[in-house]
Amino acid sequence: MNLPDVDYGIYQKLIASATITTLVGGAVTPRIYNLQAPIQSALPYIVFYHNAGGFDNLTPRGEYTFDYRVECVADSRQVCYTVANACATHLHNNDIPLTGYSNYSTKIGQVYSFIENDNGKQYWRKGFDIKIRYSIE
Amino acid sequence: MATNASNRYTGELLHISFKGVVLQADFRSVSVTESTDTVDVSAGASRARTYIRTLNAAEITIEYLEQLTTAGSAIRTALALNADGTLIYAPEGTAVGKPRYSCIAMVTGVDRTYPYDDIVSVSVNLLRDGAWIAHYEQLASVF
Repeated sequence: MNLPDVDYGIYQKLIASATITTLVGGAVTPRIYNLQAPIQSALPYIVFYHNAGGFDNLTPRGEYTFDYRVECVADSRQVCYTVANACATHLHNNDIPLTGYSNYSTKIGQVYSFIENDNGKQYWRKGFDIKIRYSIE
Repeated sequence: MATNASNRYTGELLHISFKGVVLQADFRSVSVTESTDTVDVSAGASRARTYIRTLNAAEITIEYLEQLTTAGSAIRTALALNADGTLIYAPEGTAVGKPRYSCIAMVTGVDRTYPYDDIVSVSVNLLRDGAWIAHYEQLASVF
C-alpha cells in the first residue's frame, strides 16, 4: 500500500486557483510552499504541511485521513485574511484529486490567527486545519 | 500478514460473498452468532435442571462501508432487505486447506447511517436458513 502524495495534491489544487495565485505572486511563480517558505520570501505567501493522520485501517480497501495545516503569512491583517479566506473557500468541501484515490471528504476544522514581530516588522499569520480523507479506488 | 508466532490473527484475510457478490474489500466486521434452543426436561425428583437440545440457529451481522451507487450497486442489491442467497465466508482466506463456512441466508435487517461529517456505514443482519452447508468445526469443511 502506497503513501498517497497529498502534498502534491494540495499544491496542484492551490495553484489551480487564479484567485489564489494572483494574491501570492502570480501563476508562474506562486509563493505557495510545502513545509517551509524560502528565507526572506516576499509576502504574502502560503505554507501548507502534513500535521497529523495517515492510515485509517478501516477496511481491506484502505482509507486515509490526513490533517493538513494551511497557513498564510502577510505584512497586514487584511491581506493575511484575504489570502487565508481564498484558500479556505477553494479547499473546504472540494475535491483534492490524487490518481488512484477517491477524496470523499475535505473539511476545515480549527481556524487560528497570530502575529509575530521580528526586527520591528509585523508578520500576520492566519490558517486552518483541514481534514482530507481518501479511499483507494 | 495476518498471523505471527503466537498464531493469533486478525480479520485481514477474511473472504466473504453473498449471492455471488464479493464483499470483503469494504467490510469492517463480520460477526457470527450460533445458538441452540433447549427444552427443560427436569421432572420428578430432579435436583438440578436438565435439558435436551432442539433447534439450532445462526445469525450473521456484516458491517461495511458503503460506496456510491456508481461502484456499490451490486453490493446494495445483494444485501437488500429480504434478499436470499448463499453466504460463503472464510476467515483465513481461500487457500487450500483453510476453513470454509457456507449456508443459505436471508437478509432480515439493514441499518444505514449517514453522518454529516463521517463515512457512510451499513450494518446488515442475516439469518441462516436451514443447516450449514459448510462449517469448519462442525463439518470439517475446508477449501
